[in-house]
Amino acid sequence: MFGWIRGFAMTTNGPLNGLPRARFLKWEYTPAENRILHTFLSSYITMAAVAVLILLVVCAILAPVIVPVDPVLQTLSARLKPPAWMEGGVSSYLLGTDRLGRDVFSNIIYGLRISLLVATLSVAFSLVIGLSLGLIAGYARGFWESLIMRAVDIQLSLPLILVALCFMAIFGAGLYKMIFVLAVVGWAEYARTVRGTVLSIREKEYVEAAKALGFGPITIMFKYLLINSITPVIILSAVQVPRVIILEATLSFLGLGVPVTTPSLGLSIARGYQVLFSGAWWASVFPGVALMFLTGAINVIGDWLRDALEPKSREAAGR
Amino acid sequence: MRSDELLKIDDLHIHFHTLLGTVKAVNGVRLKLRQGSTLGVVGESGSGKSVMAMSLLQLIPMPPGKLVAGRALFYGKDLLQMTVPEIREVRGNRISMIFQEPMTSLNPVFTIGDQIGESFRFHRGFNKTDAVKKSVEMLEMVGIPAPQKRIKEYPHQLSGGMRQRAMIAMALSCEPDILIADEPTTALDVTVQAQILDLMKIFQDRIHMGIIMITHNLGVIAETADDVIVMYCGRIVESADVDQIFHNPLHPYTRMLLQSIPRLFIEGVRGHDRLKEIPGMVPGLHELPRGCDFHPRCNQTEPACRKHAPELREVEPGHFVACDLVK
Repeated sequence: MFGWIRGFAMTTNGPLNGLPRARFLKWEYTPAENRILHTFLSSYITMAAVAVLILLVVCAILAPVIVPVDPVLQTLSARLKPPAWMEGGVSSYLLGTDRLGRDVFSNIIYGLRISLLVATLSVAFSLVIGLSLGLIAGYARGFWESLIMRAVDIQLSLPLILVALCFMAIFGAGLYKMIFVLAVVGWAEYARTVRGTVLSIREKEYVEAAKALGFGPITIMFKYLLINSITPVIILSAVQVPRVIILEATLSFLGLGVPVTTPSLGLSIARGYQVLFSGAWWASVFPGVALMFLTGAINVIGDWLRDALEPKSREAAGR
Repeated sequence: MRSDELLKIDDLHIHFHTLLGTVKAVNGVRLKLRQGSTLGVVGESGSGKSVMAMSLLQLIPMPPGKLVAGRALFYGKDLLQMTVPEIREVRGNRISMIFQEPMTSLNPVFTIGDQIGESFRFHRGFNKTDAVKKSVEMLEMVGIPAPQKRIKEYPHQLSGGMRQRAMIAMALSCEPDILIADEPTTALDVTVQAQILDLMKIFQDRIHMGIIMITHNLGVIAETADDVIVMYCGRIVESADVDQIFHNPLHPYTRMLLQSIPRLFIEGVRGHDRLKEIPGMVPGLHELPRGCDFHPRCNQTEPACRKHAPELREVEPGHFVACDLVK
């Protein structure tokens, strides 16, 4: 179906300047130089994942426009309606309703919104915390490095879910509390990754040269160490986002995430689960499928980014 | 103290504390650099020449490094005792350094223009447009064609020679008093080497800077240096002006070094001679031999050489040798 895209991408005009050229629409590029585009255009799965993610993000952003019914509106007269195409279904409830007559479709769309909000904010926070601490650890060495890295060790030795559960159990459910707790449990991986890259980059000759040119620690930290260690951070973020989404859904499923009045995929699954075996499968299966598509798409994109940005890891994996 | 004396290193000792023991990387080096002259520092790998140079800008990580003794007077101020802000003011501004690997000495994520401009902005407080203008000028001066276009390019788009020129442009942007060139031409091919050396000479004449040329290539020394010091195991074994070193080498090590230069044609010999080499290896710096450091490899060793280390002494005006056998 998308063969034409691939066809465009693969039209090689033979060696030019020693490198084979490829074309996308009217734009010529060399696969070796434009690896991000090339790896994207040569994989259907990546293209599909990007399409799915864009679709889901657009839905989430436009939720108030798209959804037919207020997601928290309970219509007891329309309890446990099956999806529209099934016998007994109502066209206004596309994917049916739950035990209290809430529209499943609307809940999914709003749930996606919460998932994406929680994931982006908490990943962004943990990225900022982890990046700064990792940078300090890698640059300063000595006492600060030991202090930060031991904290990382402790953090990584505790199961995330356990820490998050304890925190939420003590302070109660809440959207921003959850974003905070997910940010706090996520920083350690960033700190460790960044410190590792910084340690290897600080030995590079260009950092030595920068010191010899008299540049100060701030310039060296940001313009030399930070920018050159950003690639693994991008890749790690692509892995962390779906992880956080799942964690959020898990906490909400256990009733310790967002407040019960907030539409959330985890909450929807939990509610549907109660009536799953009485035949109303749609109330938890559809939110589950939405969750799966969301995390699946981001994971595929993460793989693509890794292949595109760190070709060595791909070669090392022998793929 | 002579008025044209730029830098004077006095009895410099730098040690590294490692698991294998204390490594005496620089062991009592003394040297002087005159304004507008080039001091060649020759030695095999591990002879301490780079450590000596880097220590001048306090670029040796301490620990594991340790400044045991010594002074490096630059206009009467000791570089080794300067505070961090003071030495940072010197780095890149008064004393610049260029490195061996032009392929890796530029930050891969910024354009050439940004990187040269950074130096102007940092040391001279230039704004962005002025920095760009100056960068173009500098690139033009170091002989990079189409500098307007080149400043927008990234290091990976330039050849090795171009990158070394860009490095030189960065290092010379603030017209330093001293340029430390740590094997600046080792990674370049021969024709480019000559161009880079010429370029450094041109700048030296223009801004009258002193150059410390660190290399293991005696050809480069012959080409550029006014004075030469030969280092072995962290010590100076011979020090003289370039003519004396090449025409009247006195230390056995210097002689053997000169004999081990490959030659295409030697008068009277038709290519059947085996290239002479110096037998053995540079000893590990943590297990230096007793007595003269060089005696295990020397072709003139006498029993006395094993007993005590020779002092550097003046055997003829301006010619210092650390060998007791030299009369």
